[in-house]
Amino acid sequence: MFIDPHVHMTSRTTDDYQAMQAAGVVAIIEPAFWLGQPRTEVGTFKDYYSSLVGWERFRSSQFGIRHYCTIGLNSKEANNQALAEQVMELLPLFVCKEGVVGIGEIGYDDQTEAEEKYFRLQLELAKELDLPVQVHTPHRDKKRGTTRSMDVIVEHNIDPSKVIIDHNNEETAQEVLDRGFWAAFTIYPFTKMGNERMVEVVRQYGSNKIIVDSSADWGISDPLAVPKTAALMAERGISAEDIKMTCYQNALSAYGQSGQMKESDWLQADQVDQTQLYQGNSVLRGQRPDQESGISNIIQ
Amino acid sequence: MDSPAYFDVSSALAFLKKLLLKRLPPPSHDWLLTKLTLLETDPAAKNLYLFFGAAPRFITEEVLVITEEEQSQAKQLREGWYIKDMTSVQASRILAVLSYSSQPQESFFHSLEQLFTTAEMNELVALYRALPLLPYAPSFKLRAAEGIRTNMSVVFDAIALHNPYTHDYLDDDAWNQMILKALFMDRPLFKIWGIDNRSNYSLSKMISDFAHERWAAGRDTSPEMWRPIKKDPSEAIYDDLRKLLLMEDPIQQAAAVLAARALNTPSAKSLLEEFEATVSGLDANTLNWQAIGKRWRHLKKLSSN
Repeated sequence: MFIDPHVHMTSRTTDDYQAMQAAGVVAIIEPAFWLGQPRTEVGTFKDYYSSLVGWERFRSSQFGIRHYCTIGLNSKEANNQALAEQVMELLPLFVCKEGVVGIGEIGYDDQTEAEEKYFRLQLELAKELDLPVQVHTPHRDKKRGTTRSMDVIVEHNIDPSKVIIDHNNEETAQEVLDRGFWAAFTIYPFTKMGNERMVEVVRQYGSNKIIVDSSADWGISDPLAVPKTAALMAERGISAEDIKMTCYQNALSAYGQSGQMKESDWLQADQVDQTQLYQGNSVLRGQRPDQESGISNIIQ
Repeated sequence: MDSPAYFDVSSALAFLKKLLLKRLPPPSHDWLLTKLTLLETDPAAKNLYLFFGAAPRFITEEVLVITEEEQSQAKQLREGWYIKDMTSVQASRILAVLSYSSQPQESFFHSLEQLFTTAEMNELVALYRALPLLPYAPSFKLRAAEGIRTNMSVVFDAIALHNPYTHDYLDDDAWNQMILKALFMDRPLFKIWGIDNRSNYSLSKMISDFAHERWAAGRDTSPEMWRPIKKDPSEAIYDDLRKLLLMEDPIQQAAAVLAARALNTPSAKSLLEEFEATVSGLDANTLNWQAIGKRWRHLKKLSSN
């Protein structure tokens, strides 16, 4: 069993869902992020958040995978301040809904003043509601941005054990772990971590508070990054216990602090029934379900 | 038409608050009381939104056991207000909305629209159940009409069944769509509040056409469908009732007899005279709409809940 605690399924196909399910992924967390091009209206944020708690969750369930999400204003779009103000008003409508396991992904991109302002406002919201926080660390000037993110969090008196610092690398891991935060590593080809490096990180630091995710999205990325990394770890002599911790248990322990994510959610799940409807729509689009066979010409 | 003149939001709020609080265990009780007080002292939209999402995290969902006396008190506060089958979380969400209702109309309406347009299924049920209790009630007419278009039967039920809002505020077109949709979705018409008061020519024509469509397809029709034709019937109705009386099916015959009696027109009276033998052969206990509705649902294995 695997959990991918960072994957943008909105951008992925049903083939991905099937492959993930076949590879043993039982639960996923979809952070609210940007969509590759900036939004220009608050209404598109509203519908996006609604789809994360609604249709995407249902779609995932139809492939036997439990879907959770984090809700937040991402750092990139925080720079459009007129829009950001309106989005901030929306957040209280969504952050406590069923299956929302935290505020995220929030943090820095260019490390501007606007980004800092909305990062802090959202940290206060998380604190008020006692929710976990999922932090996106910047691609550029990563090391300084990661340190700065943690400094701000500590300044707001938020317990590091409620915060997952994501997109770490060999340069940031030590400080994140030393300061008591969860350290998540994104296995994403070319721009973030490769999984051979990930094996060595686990070999060096062990599995305490270390989390593997894919961050698969609309770019060249791999929704099977977690199961593939687990397999590579096994091949290269990492213990089964460490694999379980980094590819399943730590994500559950970190985000389970929301009270919205429990192992029984998938261990005691109903059988998949693809004929179920969500607001009148199914994933079948008129096709017959995989599980059934035999077609009748009679239409009753 | 504004909210009924006799209706007072604060009395309804006090009544429901007392009713719910005495049923909640201490942790839920304290959470609810704190949050409702916060809404009254700091009526920011944010507090309402957070309450709405968070309620099931702090209040255990269960169906409240309501006494007959409590139900009758509710109806005195607001005609048609139905509190049976209400869950603890629904009641808490209705309380949150009512606690926020001292807001000026524009911001109250805006906040409610935000809740409606971002709501998941359980939240929608609570919001539609709250409609008859809201201030500025007529401003939610289009929202209710939109809600009737849902394919989620629990949401449809929250608007259509036991809810005086639709009776009081929907225009004829929306009302007629609601009745037809209830028939399409096999919902119990006897639970639609005030169904006998809102008959109109257009509805009676739609019902007759719908029956012909079903019969042409070799399908049966719910006997309840003949209930809302009593005023201003279309001419085709008399042929339809004759057809029902000839069906040799007591439940369809009973429906035709009740419909003809309610019409009370010369054509209806002569129809009843013509079929006097059939009418006198029917069990008098079956000659009421609720009994017909329940019997039909039993025969068709449809839940009456």
